[in-house]
Amino acid sequence: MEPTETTAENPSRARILERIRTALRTPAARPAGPADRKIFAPVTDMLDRFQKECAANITECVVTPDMRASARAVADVLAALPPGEIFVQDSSALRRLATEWQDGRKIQWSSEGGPRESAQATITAAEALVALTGSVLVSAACRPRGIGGRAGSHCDREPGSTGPRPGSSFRAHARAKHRFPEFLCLPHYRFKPDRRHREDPGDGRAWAGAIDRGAGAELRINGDGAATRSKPYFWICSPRMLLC
Amino acid sequence: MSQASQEFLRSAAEKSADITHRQLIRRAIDSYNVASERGRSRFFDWEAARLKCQEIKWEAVNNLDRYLLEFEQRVKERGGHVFWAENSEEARRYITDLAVSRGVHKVVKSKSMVSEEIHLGAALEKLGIKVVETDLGEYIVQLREETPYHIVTPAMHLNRTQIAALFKQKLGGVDTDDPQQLVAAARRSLRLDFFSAEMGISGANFLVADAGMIALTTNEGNARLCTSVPRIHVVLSGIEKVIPRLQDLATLWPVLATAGTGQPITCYSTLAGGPRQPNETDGPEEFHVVLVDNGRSELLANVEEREVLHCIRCGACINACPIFRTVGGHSYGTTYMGPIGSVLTPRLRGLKEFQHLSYASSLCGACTEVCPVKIDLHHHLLHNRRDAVNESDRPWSERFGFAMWRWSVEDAGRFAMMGWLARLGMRVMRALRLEGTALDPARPWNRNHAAPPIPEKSFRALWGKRNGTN
Repeated sequence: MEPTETTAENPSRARILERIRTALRTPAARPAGPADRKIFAPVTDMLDRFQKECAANITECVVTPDMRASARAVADVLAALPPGEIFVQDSSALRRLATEWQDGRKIQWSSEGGPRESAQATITAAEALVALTGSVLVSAACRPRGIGGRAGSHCDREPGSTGPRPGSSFRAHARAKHRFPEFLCLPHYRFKPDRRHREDPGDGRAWAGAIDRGAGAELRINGDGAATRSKPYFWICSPRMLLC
Repeated sequence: MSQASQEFLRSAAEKSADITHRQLIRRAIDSYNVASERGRSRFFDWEAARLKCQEIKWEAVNNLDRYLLEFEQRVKERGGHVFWAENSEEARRYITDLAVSRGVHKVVKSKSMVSEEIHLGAALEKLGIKVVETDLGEYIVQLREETPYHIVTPAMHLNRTQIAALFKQKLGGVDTDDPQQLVAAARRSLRLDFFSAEMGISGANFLVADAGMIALTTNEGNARLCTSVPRIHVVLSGIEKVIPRLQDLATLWPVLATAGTGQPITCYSTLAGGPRQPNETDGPEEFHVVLVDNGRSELLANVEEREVLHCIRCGACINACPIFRTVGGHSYGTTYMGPIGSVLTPRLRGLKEFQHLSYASSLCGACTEVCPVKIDLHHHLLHNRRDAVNESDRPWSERFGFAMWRWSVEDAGRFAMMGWLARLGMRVMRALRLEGTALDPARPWNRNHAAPPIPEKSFRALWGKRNGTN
């Protein structure tokens, strides 16, 4: 597709483009490129690799056999949080899950607006998981842009949506949605476990990830000081159970 | 000698004698080296990754008009605005006019080297608009009223004791040197700014043409708040940041993270492509992209130097540079420091004023070796030296010196005679005790070093004696 050009209100645009076109009349030698050389090591078992990367990232990944077990796991985390509302992506799957965990907390659904500063946790789905880095791909369809999703995030794994690399996850996502997402992020929880667990004064913050809105919720997760509670959480439902 | 050159020499001499500073930088770069090595080992073939990135950036830069137009069209389709700025002044004016017309009182900024390049912060402050840097390193140097020390780690030159003292003085109520508590203090202050700012300004690690989105990477999540909470989001980017496809990020993001900090991928990798859409609950009401040329199209026209525009600003060359490790980032006195800064700055800001940076290199080639997009940096430094000599009037002493050197090395007899004269001159200087004084032609060396012993015979004489030819 050849985009249309306009010059109104921005005369510099035409001048810059003209300079670029004049400059490019003299071609530069094309580099050789990698040809067929592999850049990343092949990932044979993507879920296993994803879990290992999560462990390295100090992210707890729990594979649950069914929706009820997922709800129990969510309830377990929520029980450790201080009182207060939680923010949940408004989707039919998570609404069903919410009826299962039922801990009496007020839920702010994403359809009611962005998360408030006082939210104790956020629970969302994910578009895809990246095995190579243990990252999560989410879009604006999962949650508002500003939310960190660093506290109790719930990741629904769609069939075929775990990719070995970011690129394959983009492809999987594009196939699934027939469009590019408006907004993506690949949170990657890379903390130093020793510092985090040994020196954590109780609000769980590390140097990295200190400022995002979602971090506020995560900070309060380990108010009891338990090391296991200092981890960001998310769960993977089995594809079978997502069909329930 | 230009003002910038004099200032560089003064600051470099001062910093290279500051052992504490050098130890601090060495420690930081040693940690980076370990992380970076570990990061590269995670790739099946790091060299193939470099070749791939080089190929992607070559395609982008050598089809720049096409990809910029594609990017522009996609952004506009989603309701965004794109402004093309020929120079710093135009870019500053567009953003300041926008801020004034929208009644902006506070701006939160995610890290953007282009904003440093065009001195945007000062222009906004001049209009009474408060500018808050939200990258932690940038925030620290802003509190110190300094410029970034390094393009990736702006506060690399500070230890936690210095940061603690700074926070105690500037933030009030913070009396600790515990890193986590210092971050907590910065976070408390910054969050108030995030939610009260009307405008967020970010840079862009990449402009993705086929998606019409900007790609940002941060480790603190500050860019996501800058780009989603304020009602206006302004993206400030050089024109060379465009890449053809979303798919290219699959290689560029991990390579950038590995080369920049040694991470497999940064904590937050974000794509944003326009203002809030009807089905979204948050996001900016307005989305503006300012594409800055500021000399880049002239660099594009120089085929020999064009690949400098492939730079992805990872800072790997800076960390590898022995000159940077010795003189530090502030000595350069420029937005971009280290080898890439020494190549880029004279091209963007004038060879005459900044030619000295081309000599701030040992030409060891370490920068070229580590560059993830395979820019031949040390050869570009040589090109800059050549062009600077051709374009400017060199001092008569330098021209005379090189003319004499050329005259002497063209003939064996003349070379021997010049050697004899040099030894004689050294003996005279020593006898008259003039070594290291203003009259000593070798003063720059002799004022700080003991002069070497003067050989009785030249190498040629010794060689001849050994082989019986003399």
